[in-house]
Amino acid sequence: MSAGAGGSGAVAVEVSGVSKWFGDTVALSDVSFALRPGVTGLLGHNGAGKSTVLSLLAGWARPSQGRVRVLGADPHGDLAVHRRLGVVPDGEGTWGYLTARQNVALLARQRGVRDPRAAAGAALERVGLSHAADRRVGGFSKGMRQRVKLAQALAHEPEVLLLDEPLNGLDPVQRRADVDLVRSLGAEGRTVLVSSHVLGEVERMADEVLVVVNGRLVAEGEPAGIRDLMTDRPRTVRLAGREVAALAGSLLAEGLVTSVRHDAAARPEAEGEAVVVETPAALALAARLPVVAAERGATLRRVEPVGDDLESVFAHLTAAARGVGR
Amino acid sequence: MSLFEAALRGVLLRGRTAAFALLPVVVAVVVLVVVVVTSVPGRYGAVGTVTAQLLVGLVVPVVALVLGTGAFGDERDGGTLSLLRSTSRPRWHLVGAKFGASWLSTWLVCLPASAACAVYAASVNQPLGAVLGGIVLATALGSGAYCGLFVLLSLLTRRALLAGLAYVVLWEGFLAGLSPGLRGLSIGSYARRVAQLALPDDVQVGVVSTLGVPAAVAVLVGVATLSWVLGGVRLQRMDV
Repeated sequence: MSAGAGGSGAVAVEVSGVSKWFGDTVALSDVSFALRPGVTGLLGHNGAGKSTVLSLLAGWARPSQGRVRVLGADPHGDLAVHRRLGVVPDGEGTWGYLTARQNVALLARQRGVRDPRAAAGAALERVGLSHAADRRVGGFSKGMRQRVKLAQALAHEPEVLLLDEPLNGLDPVQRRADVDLVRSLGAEGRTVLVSSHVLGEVERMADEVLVVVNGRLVAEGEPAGIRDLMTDRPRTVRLAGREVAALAGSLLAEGLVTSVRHDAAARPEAEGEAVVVETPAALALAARLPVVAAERGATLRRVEPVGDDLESVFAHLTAAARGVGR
Repeated sequence: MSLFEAALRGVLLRGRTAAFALLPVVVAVVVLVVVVVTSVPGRYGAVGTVTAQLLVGLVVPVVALVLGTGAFGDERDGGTLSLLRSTSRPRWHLVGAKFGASWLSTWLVCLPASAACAVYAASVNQPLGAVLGGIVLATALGSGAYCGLFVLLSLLTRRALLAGLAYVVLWEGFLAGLSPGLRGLSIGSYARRVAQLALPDDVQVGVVSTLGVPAAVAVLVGVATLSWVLGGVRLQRMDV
């Protein structure tokens, strides 16, 4: 059903045939994967089931069916495993009336750390918040609170880390720093699962990617492979410029597009004539389009995907998963 | 910082706590004004109403309701309940810290009203020792039982405040007075029984348990303990 994600080494996280439903709503359906040390990205659109996967691994919920193991233990029933597991939840997740140091030390103490204050100081330094350690978190920006959550997850030096959208609310500089931090955590031999709905983010952090769509695991592999899978798929493309109808005819003849129609909403005075084409192979079209345009003497002013939202990307992956057995 | 200390800060630093802390203060002021402006015979007739019904039957349960249901309700709303579940600490420890914090906070917040009621009861020539003992015991045990119940409710439902309000207003305020059987499920009836230690024997105290004081104490301790245990089980089993 699934290969292991992450680097080499022993399996740290194992999810076998897991389904989770809430009343009539199926949040996860027959999901299986295994994680080894290294950073693994969990990619999916909002509502795809990423947070459900993480909540099952964190022990916040029990699977309706199947089995979850973290470091060989059931995270819901075995409390001891939480000394070796760190979690950054989505949403708030901090006590605003406590200082950053108190926030981190409080959880470190509950996870069995002998010197929670020292551990909190080290964790806050690692996430770059030493300067604000003794300020109340209630006055922090969203980005700073996100870092407090990271420090909470790191203070007890866990072997497994679950990070739910850890880059949310961060500015570009903070994002870059946190991407480096996540990568370094993986390089230290920890098993890190980091969720996001942005492929670009996951690519920069993870060695392996799991893609979840509508509660199903539809793809997994290296980020580059996932990007190719997402890019080279049937797409609708709008072409505008001079002689684009003739150009589209040539593309049709070459089999690079399967249908051509005039774009009724075109603005000829601004962009020339416009057509909308359907292509089964976007990468091949991208490669051949300039060549064929030059051959036909066409001038392209605009080449743009139509309806190219994340939903359509994931819908394609779902269909692809059904076709090739993932 | 211990979890109890953090929980205590959480309860006491909430704006809602400050707002509801005004209730016992207002009650205290009113009671003290009554002590000053009325004669002993006039006060005597109302000593049961003031001490057993106003303090033990209204102020304590309302404050306990707000502070007890907020113990885990605020954690749930703030997204920190999942963090507490991500610890290796036994769940009954976590519930115990929250329960203890809301209990102590309730008792402290009710202290002005308790002191004023003690002054009132002593002013009708009740022995000071009995007055202090009865009021301290009744408010401590009553707030413990109410907080236990309301902390448990906050783990059972997101609408704990509404459910608790229904219990205090409908059950305790109305249904418990209809029959002895219903009275047996009223925390207030046992707390008022304990409060009678501070009062003359012949004054009206509203709906009160027919059990002796030791049995009433045992019931109140039992409710608090059982709620604590069930809260621990619930926190372990619930999805967060």
